[in-house]
Amino acid sequence: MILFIVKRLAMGAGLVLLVLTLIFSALQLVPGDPAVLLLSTGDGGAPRPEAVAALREQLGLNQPLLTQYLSFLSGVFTGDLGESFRTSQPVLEAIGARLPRTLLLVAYATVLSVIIGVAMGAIAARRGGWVDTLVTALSSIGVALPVFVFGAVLILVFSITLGLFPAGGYVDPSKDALGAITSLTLPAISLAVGFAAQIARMTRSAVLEVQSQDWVRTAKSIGLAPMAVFRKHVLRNSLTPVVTVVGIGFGTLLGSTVLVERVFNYPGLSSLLVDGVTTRDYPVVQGVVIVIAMLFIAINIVVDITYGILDPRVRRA
Amino acid sequence: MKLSPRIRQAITPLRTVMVVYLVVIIVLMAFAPLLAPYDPIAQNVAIRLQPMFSPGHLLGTDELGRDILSRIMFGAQVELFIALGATVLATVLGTLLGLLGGYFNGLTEVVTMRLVVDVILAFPPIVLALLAVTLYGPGPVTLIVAMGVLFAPIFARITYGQVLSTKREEYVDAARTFGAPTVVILFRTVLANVSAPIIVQFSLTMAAAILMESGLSYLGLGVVPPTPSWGSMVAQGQRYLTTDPHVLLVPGAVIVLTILAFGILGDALRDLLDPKAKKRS
Repeated sequence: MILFIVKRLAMGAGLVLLVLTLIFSALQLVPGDPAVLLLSTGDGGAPRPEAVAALREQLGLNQPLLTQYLSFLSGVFTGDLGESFRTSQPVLEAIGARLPRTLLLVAYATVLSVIIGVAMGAIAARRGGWVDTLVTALSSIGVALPVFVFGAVLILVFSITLGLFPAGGYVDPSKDALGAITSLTLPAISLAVGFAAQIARMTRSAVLEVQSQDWVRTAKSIGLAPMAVFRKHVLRNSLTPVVTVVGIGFGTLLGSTVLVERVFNYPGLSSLLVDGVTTRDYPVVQGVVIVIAMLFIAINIVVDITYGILDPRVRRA
Repeated sequence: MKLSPRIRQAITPLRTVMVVYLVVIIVLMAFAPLLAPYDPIAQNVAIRLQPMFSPGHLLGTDELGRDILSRIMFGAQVELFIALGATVLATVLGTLLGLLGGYFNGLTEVVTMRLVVDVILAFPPIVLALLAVTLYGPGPVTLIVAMGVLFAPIFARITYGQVLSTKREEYVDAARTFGAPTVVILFRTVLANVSAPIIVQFSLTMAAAILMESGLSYLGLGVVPPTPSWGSMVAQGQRYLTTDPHVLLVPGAVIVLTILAFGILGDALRDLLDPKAKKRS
């Protein structure tokens, strides 16, 4: 088991290094001078030479490539992600302020997706018939719904028409926990719908498979209550694959916050990223991309190890 | 006309409706300059925010008095052109990577499947797309190339898996014994076996590409205005959600239907071409 964990961590570390190299080379591979490119405003006018020279200095573009690469890596590992072009704030500080908000949103959405997805998938598999058809149809639609369209429809229905939830914005959970949860509910639902649909599909097929096993028939034939058999034996054995999807889903949800935070005007990590892209604030964009990729890799390692603990066969692979 | 049971099974009313919808969208797109009732970027503030079904404007007008139906039709051109370009690029890139990685062992396999594929999959796709937009600026070319690279790993994995099982088949051995060059074996013999799942994935990737393109355009980072695009129409509509929800709902519904249609087309193609796949997934 320990060997499995060490191996998985080593693979993760290798991947981190590769990802950082890719992000580093992204700026270097741009045709022409990256400094000129980042200063171009799109109206065709060339940026002033002094500005270009200053930016080259700030980004360290005048140094040899290897020096740049090494100082980039050491910067990342010591938490120095540079400073924002626009506000001169250290990028790590800006990220630190925004990250917990986005993680809260993603965590809320994950909980909603798992509850809704597992419930719908289990009911569909158990009841069959029209319930099954309905859930299958809903999950097809759920996967196809763009979060920004669904989010806007949620605002229209639950905020503008019914007045049940606020249309977005940010409430500090340390000051008003209930208010924060209420204002996060619509964003979390719009984030969760696609993932819940995926989990519902998975749970449904897993339950159908487990239900046809011999030991389920045995459990029923020795007179256990059908509901107890379903809860204790069928459902529990169906959920192992769902654990792995949660890891993949976390990445998808994290990606979708880019859109959801805009729809609901939520000042999280992703809106920092989008603002950075809009204003071509490269250090901010690069910093957020690094943090998101690291999070994504870390979650996948955790999921793999959890899966290894749950299912001993995985460890040997 | 007699249809085989497999084809009859693959055709359901819903799938037929969705295919018809796709054909309509493609025709509207292809003949937009002839069919569109108005210029999609012509403003006329006197008739701004007309409701749906108002005379002369079937789907109403937006806040600048531009005809929504015409904008949807021209938006389809941009949308489908970018999605198709990205999907074709992803298919070609991914299939090549998978072929190389699967057929040659050792270093090639490590580079294609580990270095390239795993690194791309280490990011949420839209985040990597945003990085590309920062560096290269928004616009169709950036979107096509970025999404083409982002969606390639799915094709690479499908091809890779299929190649691994195919290359041990006797007929591949036979081809090699007869002196067929490696390139011929790769493209003729091996590729023929992966075409079915690739075609299915092509349709599903079209859906994913439209989803991502409309999302980026919604953020104002995809297709640049005034070129109409479905995503930016939704973004405009959100500002008038309280008073004129149709400005958002019409393009929103078109996006959802189109993504759904490509997804359902993919399912239909799977039943038609690759009946074994259902059991695998």
